[in-house]
Amino acid sequence: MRQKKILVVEDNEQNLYLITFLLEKEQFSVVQARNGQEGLEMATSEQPDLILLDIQLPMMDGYEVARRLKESRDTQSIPIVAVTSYAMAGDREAVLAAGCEGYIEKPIDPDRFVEQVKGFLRIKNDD
Amino acid sequence: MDITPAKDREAFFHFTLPYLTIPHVIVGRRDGPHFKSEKDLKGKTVALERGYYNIPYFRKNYPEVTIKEYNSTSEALGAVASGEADAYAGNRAVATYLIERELIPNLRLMGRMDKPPVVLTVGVRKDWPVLAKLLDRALGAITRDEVRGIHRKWLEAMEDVTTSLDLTSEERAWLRDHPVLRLGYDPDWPPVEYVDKEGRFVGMSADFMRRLNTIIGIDIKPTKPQSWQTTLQEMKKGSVDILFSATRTPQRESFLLFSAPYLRFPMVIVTDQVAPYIGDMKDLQGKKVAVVKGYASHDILKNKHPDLNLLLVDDVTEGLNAVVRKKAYAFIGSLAAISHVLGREGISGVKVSGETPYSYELSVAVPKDQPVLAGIIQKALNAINEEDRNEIFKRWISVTYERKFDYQLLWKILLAVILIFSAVFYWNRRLSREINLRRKIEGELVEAKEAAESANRVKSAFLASMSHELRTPLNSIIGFTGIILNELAGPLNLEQKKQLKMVKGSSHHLLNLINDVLDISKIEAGEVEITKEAFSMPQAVDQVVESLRPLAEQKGLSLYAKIDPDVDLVVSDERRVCQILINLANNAIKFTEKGGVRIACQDRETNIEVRVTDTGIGIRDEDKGKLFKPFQQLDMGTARRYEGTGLGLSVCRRILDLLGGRIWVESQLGEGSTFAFTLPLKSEETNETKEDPGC
Repeated sequence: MRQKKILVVEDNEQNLYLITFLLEKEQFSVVQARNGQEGLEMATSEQPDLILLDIQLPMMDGYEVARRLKESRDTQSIPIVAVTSYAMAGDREAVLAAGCEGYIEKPIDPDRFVEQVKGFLRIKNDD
Repeated sequence: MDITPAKDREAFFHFTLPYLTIPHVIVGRRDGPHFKSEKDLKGKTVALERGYYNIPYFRKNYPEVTIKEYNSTSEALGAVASGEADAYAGNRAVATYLIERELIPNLRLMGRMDKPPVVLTVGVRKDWPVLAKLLDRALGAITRDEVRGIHRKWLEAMEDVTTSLDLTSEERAWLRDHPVLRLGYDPDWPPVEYVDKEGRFVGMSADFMRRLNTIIGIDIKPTKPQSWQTTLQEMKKGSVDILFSATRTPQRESFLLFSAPYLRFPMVIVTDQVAPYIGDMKDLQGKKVAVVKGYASHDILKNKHPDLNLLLVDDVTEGLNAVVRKKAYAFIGSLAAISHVLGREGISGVKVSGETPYSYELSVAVPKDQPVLAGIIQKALNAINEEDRNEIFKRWISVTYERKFDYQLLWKILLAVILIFSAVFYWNRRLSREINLRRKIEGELVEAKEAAESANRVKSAFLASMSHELRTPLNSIIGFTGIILNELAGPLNLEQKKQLKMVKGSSHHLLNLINDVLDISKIEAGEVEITKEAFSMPQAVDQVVESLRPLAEQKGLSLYAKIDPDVDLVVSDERRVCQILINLANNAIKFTEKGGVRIACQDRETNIEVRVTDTGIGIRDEDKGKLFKPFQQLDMGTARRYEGTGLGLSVCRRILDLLGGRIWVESQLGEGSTFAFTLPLKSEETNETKEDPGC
């Protein structure tokens, strides 16, 4: 099986490192973006198998990034999984409405995180 | 026809037998000398009727008396009144009748004449002896009773006086020595006695005074007005001789002699309009009660109700005003005086709230050292016949009652008008105040609403921010702890593993805390949105059981689910249902040391009932009510406190409220607990199920 490439859009350095570490331990290829704009560019250029998108990003927030990814022909087929803390009512719906295929709640459970990611990859593969 | 037989008259008349005997009296001026008998008339001018028998009588017996002749009794009396003559002597009945009819107030009946009483017979012309006999027979046919009836009709008033005022020689002597008596009275006790606007002494006592003056032939004069209290002191000192309207009290009996009471007035309780009915003197206990100093009411209250808080006032007016001005709760006084003063002073805002068991019993009082006077007075009082007495009462009391009635009606109408006006005024004011208040409140509400909305936005933003800010470091802590514990970053020794597990546990506890606080805040802010979707209940329960199995196994507890085959799809908020289930199962595991936890799920037709039963420590009855309130982790009475926020059950209950279900506990201390909840079963079938229950 080809090594899956995952784009992680996350502004918090520690979380970025944490997620990257967990995914790389499971033999995923990880590309990193530290803000929304960078995320859009990387998604287009890297064509990852999955995008893990933090919602609370500086400048352009995760919803906007997701919408733009889904609007662009180049990136609209890439599944997006929001990784966020559902602080407020409606966040969950807003995430799905913005075009995300799913969500993983923060803080991530290191024991289950990779399994969750693999689950979203499977859905994609089933398509 | 009425003619007194006399020797010279016998020349012309036959006289019938006498049909009436009337004494002759001496009438003089009130301000003139007192003529006790005809002997006192020596050297005086006496008015007599021309042709009357008295003229030759005086000429013969008292040549020293100057006789002035008048055509009628009326003229003769007028002469005395005007000072032309010093006295009149004649038929008492006629004199009394004329004095009263013609209102000659300055005349007074004085002594009786020594000459034998007038004997009236019918005179008949001497040449008609047969007629005289016939008349005699006719007069004889008039019965004694009929004669008495005629007497009563025409002559009784005076008849009674002289016949019943049977004074002893001692009494006569006393009266001679005391021609003038000083009358003490209350200047403000209408209608009994008071000083009117013109400064005159009026009232019932004044009338009695005049009547007694006439009857006794004495001069009772009112003293100058002074307060009742002072009057009583003057009485003690001997500068007042008589009181007409005194009520017998033990205090007063020490220095006064009282006649039998001649009038009773109830003592009533007056309060302001709002006071309730006072049915008992006990109702006044501890209240300030105004009473006129030195009045019988004062003595009575002091003796019989020493517990009352008395406010002593100088007169009725002051007492009533004390009530109006709220200086006293009540005033106790005579109904007659109160109604009179209310009318006179135009005092309003008070009412008679009750009656005391006491009354003013009016008697005439004289100093204790004057028993003779007391005897005379009692005789004189007895001599005033019932009709006269009633007339005096009627005159004053009826004035009072009439006035009272008039005033009361007036007051009632006025009061009603005032009440209506003040009610309207009050309502208007209240309404305008209310409108103002409402406007103000509305303004405040708008402000408050804006503030609240703004605060809410701030709160929401704060919660979102806090959630993010707290979760981000927690993400790192939990994440790296997990990575190291899973030895993804390299092998650990046992001690390191044990310590890192503690970090992991604490960080999860912190995460739960944050989640629960956020949940409660969101529920209270009405920000929890319930998304109802059909999901598989058995699947959801299984998920929960599987997620908690490691925890149960760690403690060596069994954990299993028993789901009825009927149970399938439920339309509810799956994530919230799972949250509740996890919470309950987690608690069950936490509080159970031996045995296990069982989750049962049953279809109850209208709802699904989920029961989480443990074999743990159980819950005391008195603690059950506290369970579902926030921050109420129960003190188990052991050294151990359990981990947890104390918010879990409260969150569960609130969520179930939103889901239309309910939650309760069945437990006995030491025998485990069952937490059960229901979810309403919607009849609407939906095929949409979710692949991942998300628990």
